[in-house]
This record gives sequence, structure tokens and C-alpha cells, in this order.
Amino acid sequence: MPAQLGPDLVEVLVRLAGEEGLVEARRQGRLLAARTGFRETDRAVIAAIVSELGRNILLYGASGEIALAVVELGQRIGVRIAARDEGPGIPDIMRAMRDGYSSVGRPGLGLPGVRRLADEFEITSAPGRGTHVVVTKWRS
Amino acid sequence: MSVQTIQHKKSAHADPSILARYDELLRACLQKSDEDTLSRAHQFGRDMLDQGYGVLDIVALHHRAVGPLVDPEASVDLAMDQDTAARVLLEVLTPFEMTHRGFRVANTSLQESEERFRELFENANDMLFTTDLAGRLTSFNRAGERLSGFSRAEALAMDLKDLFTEAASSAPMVFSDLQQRELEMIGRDGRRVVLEISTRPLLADGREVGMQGIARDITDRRNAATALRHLNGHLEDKAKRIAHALHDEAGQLLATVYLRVAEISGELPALGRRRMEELRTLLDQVDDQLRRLAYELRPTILDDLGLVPACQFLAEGVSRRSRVRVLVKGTTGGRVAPDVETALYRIAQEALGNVGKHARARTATVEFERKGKSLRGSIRDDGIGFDVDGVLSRVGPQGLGLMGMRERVVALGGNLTVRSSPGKGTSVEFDVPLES
Repeated sequence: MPAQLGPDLVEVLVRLAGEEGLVEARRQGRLLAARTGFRETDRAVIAAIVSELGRNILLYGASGEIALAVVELGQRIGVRIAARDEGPGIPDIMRAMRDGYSSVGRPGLGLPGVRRLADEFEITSAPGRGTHVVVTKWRS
Repeated sequence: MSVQTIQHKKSAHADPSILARYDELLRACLQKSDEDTLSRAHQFGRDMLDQGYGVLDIVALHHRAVGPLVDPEASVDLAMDQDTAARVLLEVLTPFEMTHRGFRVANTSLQESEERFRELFENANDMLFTTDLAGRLTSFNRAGERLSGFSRAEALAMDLKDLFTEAASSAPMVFSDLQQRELEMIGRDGRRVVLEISTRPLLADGREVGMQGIARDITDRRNAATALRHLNGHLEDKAKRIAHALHDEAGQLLATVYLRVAEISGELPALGRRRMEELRTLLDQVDDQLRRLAYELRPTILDDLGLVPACQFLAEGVSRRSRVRVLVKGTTGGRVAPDVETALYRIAQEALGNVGKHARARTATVEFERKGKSLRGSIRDDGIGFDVDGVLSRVGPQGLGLMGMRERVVALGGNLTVRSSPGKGTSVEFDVPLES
């Protein structure tokens, strides 16, 4: 089971149906990161994560949503980003997570790249069931 | 298309169209720094990455683009814009993090784990080593240097077999997984060290490339076991001699006393003869005690007939005295070494003694089984049981008895396990190797 964001934890939910939604999601991500006390470089990293996840939704799922929340675990605090789409889903997640893989002809920087930027990364997907990615970045 | 096939080593700052695009991006951000322009900066960085440019290209490009803006004649007010320019650069570079950071983190953790491994390897108390397929040593830790007296440089010019005595090195050096062997190593100065060694194949990419091993100095342990065995043998000899003295010499004296009493009895009137009869009864008791004492010190039946008959005799005695039914089952498969017989007899004696004194058992069983080159067996009862750890942690006669049993078996290179819990009866199981 992927770590889903519970409804009470969702601070921001951005519907994604085009470039505009993507920019808004980035803005919200950067804002939440700033409010949570992330340094400027890590705010850029969080915006980049949102970008890549959003781009993934637009490329494959056509529409979906990005949820952002502050998470606390013991002494740690961080930002959790969940991306969901209602697209065709990924038939082979292991393959999708390899560098250089893309089913639409672009380098698959997205998901493997996000995994490198994030501290925690979970993905669930199945053909016809869309794709859910949940990512956590802890404040250092 | 994969990233690797993308054309590389282009000079970004020399490409006028890219410079123009970055310049335009930078100006847009300086005029209005919002998420929209930052998002474009991210996309620009991503495109540059896709096209095979590197971080240094971006930095050079940034330098080229910012230069004219720093010009005091420039139209843009720069006082507030140093930060923005830096933020744009950061945004452009972030996609590069996606490809690099992972490697950086992976490299760091690999380095850390290598260091940790090296530290563990070096500071282990046991000798650790690896060899190639030909048996040549390829690594050797500090404990290996200490135990063998060979420096690492010397050891790395040797075969593993060179470290051992001829008898030891004629055996195959690769043992199956988890199997342990005792081998004798000859140090640089000729000193012999007994090692308990275990090895297994060393794999690289799934192929066997050599062997890794760990060896522990058990000289002390072995010496202690040998000393204990000698001590036990010595005590048994003493006991045998005392038993002899009791049985033969004191017995002889007693026999003489009997004769004298009989002689005197004959010369006495009826009253005196009755008193002499009482004296004879007392003498019978002394004789009985002497025999029992002599027997307990050293049962002649053990020397004459062996372990199982001796245990049967012991069992009869216990059954008679304590009303516990004691059975002796199994066989030792012929006579075994005297020190093994003695040790196991003493263990049965101690265990059955405990059964009689503490267990409140109805039955007890002594069992022997010959299994290849070892002799196994047990003494079990159906009594009230006890808390083994509790008894062993207290210093008391019972704990000493248990420890004594174990020590006797360990001195012979075997194992002994005592299992018991309140209400569940007790079992003493042993396993002793027979060849030596």
C-alpha cells in the first residue's frame, strides 16, 4: 500500500489539465516548502519534483491532480507530494524507473530523476488504473 | 532515444541561439520573477540537459549572459537583481541534480560502506582473509598478522596452504558453507596455533573468483580442554587408588577383625556372645559402607564390563534407594575410550543422583546411541523439573553439578545440553566424538 495522503493532511490540491495547472502546482509547492522552512535550493528541488510529476501526468495521463502536504514524523518535518492521474497506467514500473526509458519518445528523466531528488518515493500503477506517485522530501 | 546517445561537448555559451534564449529568460525573470518564469527556467535547464549540455556549460552561459547586465549603462536596475539571477541559475541547474544527485549519494554511501567494511576487516579479532582461485592470499587482516607473525606483504606472496602444517594443508581448503574445521597453523617463528576456520566461495558478478575465510585462535580453548581432561584423568586415578585402598586394604583388615570376633565369640559365655553378635552386625554395616564407597569412587564394573553394564548397575542402585524406576537403553557399539566411559558414567551418576534427590520422578531413562564417530545419549526423567538458567546462575552445589557435567563433555570435545522447566521433567543430552 502506498502512503496516501489522508484528507485531513491535504493542504493544497491542484487539478492539472494543462501548463497553467503545472505552474500553479509548482508555485504551491515552493510556497509550502518555504512555509515549512526549506532552504532556497531545496525549495527549487521541490518545485522540480512537482514539475516532473506534473509533466508526467500531462504526458501520459492527460489529467490528474497534485496534492501537497506538510508531514511530521518524530523530530523530522518535510513536504509530501502525491501525484495521481487517471491515465492508462504504467505496464512495467521497473522499466519505467530505469533511466532513459520513455514510452512517448522523450528521455525518461522524470520518474527516475524524481526518485533521486526525493528522500522517499512510492509508485503504484497498473494498466487502466492510472498512476499514483507519493514522494517525501525531509527538511535537512 | 537515450541520454547517452545525445551529442555531447557542444559549447553552449558559443551558440548564439542558446545564449539569446537564456538572455531572454534572464531578462524576463528580472522583470517579473514569478512561478511562470521560474518554471520556464526549469524547462530551459531540462532542455539543456536533454541536449547533452553539462553543468559547466550552464555556468559559462550564465556568466556570458549576466556580464552585460552588470554593466552600469544597462537599462535594468541591478541592485535588487543579483538574487534573482542566482535564483534563475539555481532553477536551470536543478534538473541536473536529478541525474547527478543520485550518483553522488550512491557514491558517498558506497564509499562509507567500503570504509566501514575496511574498518571491520582490520579491527576484527579473528583472522580474515581472501584468496584467489589458485589459493593465493589476496587479503589478510591485522589479526592474521598477529596470529601468524607474517606481515601482510609477506602473506600476500603466499598460498593459504603455506600457513598450515602439512597434515592440515593436505585437506581441501574450501569447505562447504558453515562447516568448521580445526587446523594447525605454523607461525613465522614456528609457533603452532590451533585455528577454527570456516571458508566459503568468494563471488563476483555471480562467478566464483576465490574464497573468503575467517579463522579463530582456539589454542587457549583447546589447551584448557586438554588440561581439564588431564585433571579429570588424574582425579580418576586418585579415586581408583583410594577405592583400592578401601576395598582391598581396609577390606582385608575388616576380614581379620571378623575372624578375631568369631574366635573371641567362641570363648565367651552366652551373654558375651550376644554382645559380640551386635558387634558383628555393626561390622556388617561398616563393610557395606566401605564397599559402597569404594564402588562409588571407582566402579570396577566400569573397567571390567564397560559403560552400559555399569550404568545398569548404577540404575539398580538408584531404583532401590529412591523408588524411581530407572531404565538403561541402547548400546555404545562396543567398548569406547576409557576417558569417555568414565566421563559419561560420571554424568549418569550425577544426573541420576539429582533425579533421586530432587526430581520426584516416577521413571528415568538412560539412553546411549552410537552414531558414526560419535556417541550420543541422554538421561531423562518425568519429574518436577527446574529452572536451568536459575540454577546455573546461582553458585551452589546443584549448579556446580551441572557445570561439572558440561565440563567433562567439553573436555572431550563434545556437547552437553540440559533441558528442563518446572513441571516438564528434565533431560540431559550429550554428544561426544569418539576418535582422537
